[in-house]
Amino acid sequence: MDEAKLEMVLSRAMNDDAEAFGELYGLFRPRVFGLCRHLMGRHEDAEDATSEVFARLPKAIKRYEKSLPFPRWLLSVASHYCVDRLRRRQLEQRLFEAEPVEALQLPLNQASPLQHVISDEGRDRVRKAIAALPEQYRVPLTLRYYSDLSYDEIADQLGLSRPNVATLIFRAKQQLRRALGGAAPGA
Amino acid sequence: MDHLSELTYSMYADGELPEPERLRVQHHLAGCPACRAQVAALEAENQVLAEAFRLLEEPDASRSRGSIGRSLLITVGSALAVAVGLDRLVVAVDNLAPGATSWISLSWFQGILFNNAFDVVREGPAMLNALVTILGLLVLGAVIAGVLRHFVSRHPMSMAILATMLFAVALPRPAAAMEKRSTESVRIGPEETVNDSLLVSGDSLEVDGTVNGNLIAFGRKAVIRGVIKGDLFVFEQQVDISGTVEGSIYTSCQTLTLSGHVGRNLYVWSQTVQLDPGGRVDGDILMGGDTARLRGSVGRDAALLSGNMEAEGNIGRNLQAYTGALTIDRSARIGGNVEAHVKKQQDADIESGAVIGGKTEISLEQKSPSHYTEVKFYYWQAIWMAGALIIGLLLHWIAPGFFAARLDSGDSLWRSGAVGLLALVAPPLLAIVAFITLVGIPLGVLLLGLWLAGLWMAKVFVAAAVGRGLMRPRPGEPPSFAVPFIVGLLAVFVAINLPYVGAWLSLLIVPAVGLGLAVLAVRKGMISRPAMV
Repeated sequence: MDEAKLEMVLSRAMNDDAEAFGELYGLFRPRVFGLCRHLMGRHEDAEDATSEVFARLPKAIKRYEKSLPFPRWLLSVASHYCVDRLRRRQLEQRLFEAEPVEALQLPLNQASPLQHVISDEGRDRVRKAIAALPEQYRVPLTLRYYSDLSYDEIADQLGLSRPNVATLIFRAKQQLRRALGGAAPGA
Repeated sequence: MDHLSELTYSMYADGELPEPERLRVQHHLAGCPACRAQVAALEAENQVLAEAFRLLEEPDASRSRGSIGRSLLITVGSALAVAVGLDRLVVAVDNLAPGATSWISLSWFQGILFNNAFDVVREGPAMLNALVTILGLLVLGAVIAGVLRHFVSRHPMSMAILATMLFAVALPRPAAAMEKRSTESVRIGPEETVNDSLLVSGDSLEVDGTVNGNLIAFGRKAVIRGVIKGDLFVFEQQVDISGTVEGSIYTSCQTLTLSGHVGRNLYVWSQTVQLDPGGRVDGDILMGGDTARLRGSVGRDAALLSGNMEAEGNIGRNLQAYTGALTIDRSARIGGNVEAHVKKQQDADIESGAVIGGKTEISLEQKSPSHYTEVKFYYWQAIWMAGALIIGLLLHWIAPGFFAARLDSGDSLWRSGAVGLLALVAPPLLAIVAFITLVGIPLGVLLLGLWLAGLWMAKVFVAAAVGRGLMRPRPGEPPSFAVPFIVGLLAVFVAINLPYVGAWLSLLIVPAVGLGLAVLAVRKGMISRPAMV
């Protein structure tokens, strides 16, 4: 669908046209579901979250400002919702623990990272390894590489500092490499 | 020259390094090929990550939409297999520790199982009992293994409980192993006693002695003159039994001649079956084949699917026959009803002098009277549905949490089915334990009551979940409960009234999945509620 058409659907949706929401659902459900699936971890939870995001859309869309492209905005609504759910799920344990940054100033590792694993063993293994990451790594990683958010946006959403986000993403990748059999950094 | 940290490069590759630092990195990279390679690798890695993330978008989304039919099919199929497996398990446990499973009512179980199997047989190809049994046990094993893995991985404590349970179950049993013999001809002499179960393959088998376990035989010819204490499974061309089988016989062969004694049931798929005048089956006979001649005595029911059928001896209860031609000899004594399904009226020949205790009903194949044509049937179904509707709406109003679990993927179907199977079996067991303690009787009664209520409600839970799966709320509209629920009720109503499949659905699958859904929903509610504060 081209920009102009999407624009039309959006303006219809903002005027409470139920059919327009149906079209948006058809268009964006896979992407929203994909995001929720990565964030929530479990299929059912992702289904729940996806339905909930779209169920809330008529209300939420009133807040949509054209400064952001719609897909990006929608994904951020979805990730806000998911992060909120994840927080509630584990209220007692701090979900995104701020980690000391200095501890990570590791020496340069010459081993090639994920790359070689990937060419050999297929992306599906990577996907599974991502799914197996602990939430505190999986969520920022997803926001970065699925939602394409900047460190600042992620920090904003998760209530962390920017260095914390950098650390979490860095650690997430380290853990992925380890899980996929790549040499651990510093090894 | 100092290399920079990997974190710095990682941020650089992400395009997230602030200006001064970025310039510093660029400066360093210009003169350091190793770090340049590192950064290039990190950038490639980011690319791969993004691609891996995109993987979930399409396949999973489509899977969640159109797969309920397939999952249902898989579930129905495997539930069938699981049921067969369970049945065999019960029989096996009963053999090892007689009476241990009497509360399950073996005949009820087998009745459902084999009557349904019989229906399937009537419809089409031969069913090899043993094959189904083995498959069933395999699937059951896989399901149990899966459920165990799932539980153990989530609740480490359950391992300890499990081990204790296993000990409790395993200890009192006598050691039972399987002995194998495989030569051209196998003979168990009159003096010989085999203490284990015996697996035999060879051209001919003769048993004059005693086998204390089960006997499983493959070959050309088997002659049993001795005693088999367990069940007999034979797959031979010719089977001759003049001895005693204390358990049941399961056989697929060309010719079966039985002049001996079978303590339980006879399940046979054979071209020719002959029960000689001296032959006796204490339980049921279920047979399919070309020619059947019953001259001996059958303790309970005889159900037959055969081209030609002659009954001359005694049948304790009912005779049910789907045959090309049926002859009931004047010497026959049938305790219960005779129900014959033949093509033409003259194909059923009941000689005068034959004694039939109950009714005689000969139905011709074409016009099978169906309860679907009766108004009464729909009247009662309507009442049932109205009741379920009211109860469902009420429960949803009082405790919507019960309906929180979903049924829209193969996984969720499986999970609720597995959990439900446990929920189906565990409460009566616990109730029995409670009854034994005497003090716990009220608790046991309460548990049984809850269990029965749950069984009844299972349809309601399944209907709600199916309805929700069928009618996804349109985006933008608040999801409604009532309308999908009614649609779900209708779907469940149609499904449990389907021929053949319906019995399984209403007796096993719907209760299991429904109970599972309720248990999962309650569990989900208990976990998420504190977090809602």
